[in-house]
Amino acid sequence: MAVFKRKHKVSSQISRIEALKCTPIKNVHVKETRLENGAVLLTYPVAMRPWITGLIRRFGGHSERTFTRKLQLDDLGTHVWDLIDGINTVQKVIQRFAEKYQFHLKEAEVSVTRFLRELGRRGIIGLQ
Amino acid sequence: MDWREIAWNGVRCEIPDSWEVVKIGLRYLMFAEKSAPMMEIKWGQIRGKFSHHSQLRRLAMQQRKKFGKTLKEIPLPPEWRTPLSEFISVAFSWHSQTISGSGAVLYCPTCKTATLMQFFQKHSAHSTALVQHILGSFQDHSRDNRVIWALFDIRALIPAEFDLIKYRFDAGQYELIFSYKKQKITLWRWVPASVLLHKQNLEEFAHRVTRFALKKTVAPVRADPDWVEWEVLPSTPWWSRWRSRRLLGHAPTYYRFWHLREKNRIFGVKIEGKQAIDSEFVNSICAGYGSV
Repeated sequence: MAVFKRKHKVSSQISRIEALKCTPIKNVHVKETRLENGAVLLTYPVAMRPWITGLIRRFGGHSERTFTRKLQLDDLGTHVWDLIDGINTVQKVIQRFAEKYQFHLKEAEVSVTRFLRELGRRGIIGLQ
Repeated sequence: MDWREIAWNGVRCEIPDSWEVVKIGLRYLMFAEKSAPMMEIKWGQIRGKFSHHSQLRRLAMQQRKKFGKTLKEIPLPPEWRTPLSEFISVAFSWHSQTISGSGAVLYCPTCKTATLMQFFQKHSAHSTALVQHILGSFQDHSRDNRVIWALFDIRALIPAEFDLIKYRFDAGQYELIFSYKKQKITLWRWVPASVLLHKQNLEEFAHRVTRFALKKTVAPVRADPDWVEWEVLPSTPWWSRWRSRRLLGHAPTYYRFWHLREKNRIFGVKIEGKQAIDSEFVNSICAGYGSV
């Protein structure tokens, strides 16, 4: 009987090599503010959960479905953010980052990919 | 081809510069090139009689269970004989649907260490010269009672009696802790120093990472902008004195931090023990530790 047959999920994960060849692109809705100390403050839109929107509407609040959040980058994050220009691939960003701070290449890869993944999770960047 | 030295927990060899360490264990190393596995080394001390054949049988069973590989003993390739002349060796090969490999089980009669080295071949076989170079550079014991630890960008020389009890390779921070009887050596490495020391000096940074406040118990030995060292006496409350006497004795803990500007790195060494720490010992540890 096929009722209890395990369904195989189709994996959408890409390999490490493929991921390194991707180009990170900034979300056009993200606002970038350069602070006095040179660091970058990002203001990015976040979609509200439908049940929260419903609740707000019920209490007579606004019907907007997005709100904004802020993220302040440190020196390293700012440098990576500046390297995201729509041309540099992830591999190139890692190489430039490693060169600038004299990181071991593997170490730079770990920290840059972790940072890019976090930006991607927040919808601040995308990969193409 | 450029070669790089790798040394970890007693074993040492040279690998191509394009290979990277992808898995680390206490007695295990795995190397890859562009995400493809290239070489694996496992080793351990043997107590009693060593049999290559029983080791190979065990390995064959493990491999079959894991990957369905067909492992078989083969005659030692003639080009491996000279580099492995100091070892008693048995060669083997295996293949699965996607990948194949060959390697050798080595036994060193001098230090009684057994090592399994295997080379993975996915698309093409490794060149004979490459395998010969790796096998020729392989060592499983030191000749001067000091063990080399060289991985990623750090290299340290630690007395052979010290065992590695903890290691951490995080992005930006490495930590290795060695122990022998009641003595402990901790090695640190931080990067990038230019960012870490942007809003604080080396002394403040050292205090922050070692989590001890600047108190009367701290006796600076020498201080300059790129170098700080302290001997920290056990804290004064009676229970701490009693505890530290029981656990470590009453000897001060030694800290040294230095900033290597040309490499943009900060190195740190902590030595603690039951007896007073010999300055020559401290200097030898710090002199042998650095960046490659």
